[in-house]
Amino acid sequence: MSNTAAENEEPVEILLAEDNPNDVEMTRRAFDKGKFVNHLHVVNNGIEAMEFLRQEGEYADKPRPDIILLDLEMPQKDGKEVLEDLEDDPELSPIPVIVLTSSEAERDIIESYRHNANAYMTKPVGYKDFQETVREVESFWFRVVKLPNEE
Amino acid sequence: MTGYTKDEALGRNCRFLQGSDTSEKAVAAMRNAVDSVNSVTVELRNYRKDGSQFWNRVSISPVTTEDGEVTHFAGFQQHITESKQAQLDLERTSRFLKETQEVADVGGWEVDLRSDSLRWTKEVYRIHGVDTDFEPTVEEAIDLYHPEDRATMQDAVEQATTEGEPYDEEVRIVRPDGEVRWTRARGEPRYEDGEIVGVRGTFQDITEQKTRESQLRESNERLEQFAYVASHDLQEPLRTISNYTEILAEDYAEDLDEEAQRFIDVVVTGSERMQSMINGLLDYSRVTTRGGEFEPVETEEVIADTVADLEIMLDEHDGTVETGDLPTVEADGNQLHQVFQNLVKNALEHSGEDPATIEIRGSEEPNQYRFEVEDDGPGIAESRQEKIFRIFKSGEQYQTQSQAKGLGLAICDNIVRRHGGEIWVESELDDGATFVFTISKDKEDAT
Repeated sequence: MSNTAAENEEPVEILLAEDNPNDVEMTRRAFDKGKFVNHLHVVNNGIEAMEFLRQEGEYADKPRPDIILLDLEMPQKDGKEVLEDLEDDPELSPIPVIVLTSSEAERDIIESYRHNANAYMTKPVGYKDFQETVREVESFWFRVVKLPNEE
Repeated sequence: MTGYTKDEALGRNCRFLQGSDTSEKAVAAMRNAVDSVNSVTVELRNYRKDGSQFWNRVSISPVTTEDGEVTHFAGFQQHITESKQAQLDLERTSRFLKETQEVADVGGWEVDLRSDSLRWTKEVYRIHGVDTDFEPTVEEAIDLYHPEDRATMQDAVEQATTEGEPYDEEVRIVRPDGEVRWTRARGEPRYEDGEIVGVRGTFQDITEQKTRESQLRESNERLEQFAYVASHDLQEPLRTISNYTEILAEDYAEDLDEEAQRFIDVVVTGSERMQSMINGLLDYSRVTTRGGEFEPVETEEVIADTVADLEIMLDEHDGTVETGDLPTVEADGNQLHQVFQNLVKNALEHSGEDPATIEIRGSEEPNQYRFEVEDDGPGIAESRQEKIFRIFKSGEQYQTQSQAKGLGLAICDNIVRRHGGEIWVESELDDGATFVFTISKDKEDAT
């Protein structure tokens, strides 16, 4: 049984894996202005992202996210490695992943999709562009697409 | 010969012909011979009655009787001015040649195919760092080249002696002490009765020139790398500034008074301008750091693409682009596109209210291709014609918001130079401007 986020009317749990505080701030503000009630959880690298997803350590009581926004270039463990880990984990692989990055290299795009990324978006540059992008994410992923329900 | 009459000369010692610069040595040798009763032949610089000089070969021999008594001396004078002059000229020419060779670090050499011999001038020995008693054969001379350059020279000499092909190569030699020097070796076949009888040419030490060239190239590369890194790394903090300014302007507008909002506008304008400068710098440095391959490019297609890309702008400015026959050139197609795009944009931006007609011409010349982009705009004052291609000029160019506009011509300049060519503008105020650029056919000129 699954419903769109909008039908559930529960807050959407979003995991943002992003090391750039500037991008974090703008993403947070853009989602705050959005139409959906949401909880934005932020981690700064791939290791923290996997800990969060596996609810390890300090993330033990964190919810399972409905969607992951993943930056490709991160220290310690980058986005590509996170994608590989997710692919190998049957528990986590159903969670939709949107790769958000400044890289427009075709190789990065193809590789991301090969590792089960659900969408690939070039990081917006300005604040207005961020809000635009976040609205698109909302209307497509929260309204249109049925997200898998937590069982 | 002397200009004196018989009466004037008779009874006088021939010393009266000598001048102040007649060789004392020769005169002394003559006197010595007379004193010791010997024969002597000297060459003397003498003066005619009218003061003009002439050269004499004077031979004096003692005349003796049968029993060996010296009765008198017999002297012969031979007028040798012309041959003496020729000899002096030759000496002066060879001294001049020798000095010039030394100054220019250039020597001469000659291969005689009939005697299979090689002759070097002193300077060639000096450049090679070997003694002048070394008499190399052609093969031995080729062995003095750097191992990597020997084949080049072997081929060049072979071609010159069999096909009569002149050559001009920049190659390295290795001196006996192991020092590597850069040289320029040029050779021309020599013909006699339609047959190649030898090769001769020049040999020049160009090590210093090469060193300077490579230093200059390295420093340019470093500079471009610097421009790339600097502009690339500047993007991130600049983005932070504009992002947070946007947040202030949008999310805190109610908390800010009018003046604070005006300040925010100033910051936004400033960071937009800086963004366009950084983009321009990045484009400029990418000309060399991210340049593509040189391939045959049809200029007509490039210009068709340019016109298509600029369709909206051409409409806005009521502009038309006219072209004739255009050559196919060996170039980086994307960059050639950029040059035409920047030049056409530049013409449109300066056309003002009037409709703009831009004519593009191209032609093939022996060593290069030449392109002209002519507009009927306001023209450019002569004092500014050179300045417009520079990357950093006075602030005026950055007052416009158009993205990286000010760097467009500097980028063209960088691209054209990468193609071994030049760009300049021919213009008079109020009489349009013609931007001319060349692209070298010789790939060696391109980088």
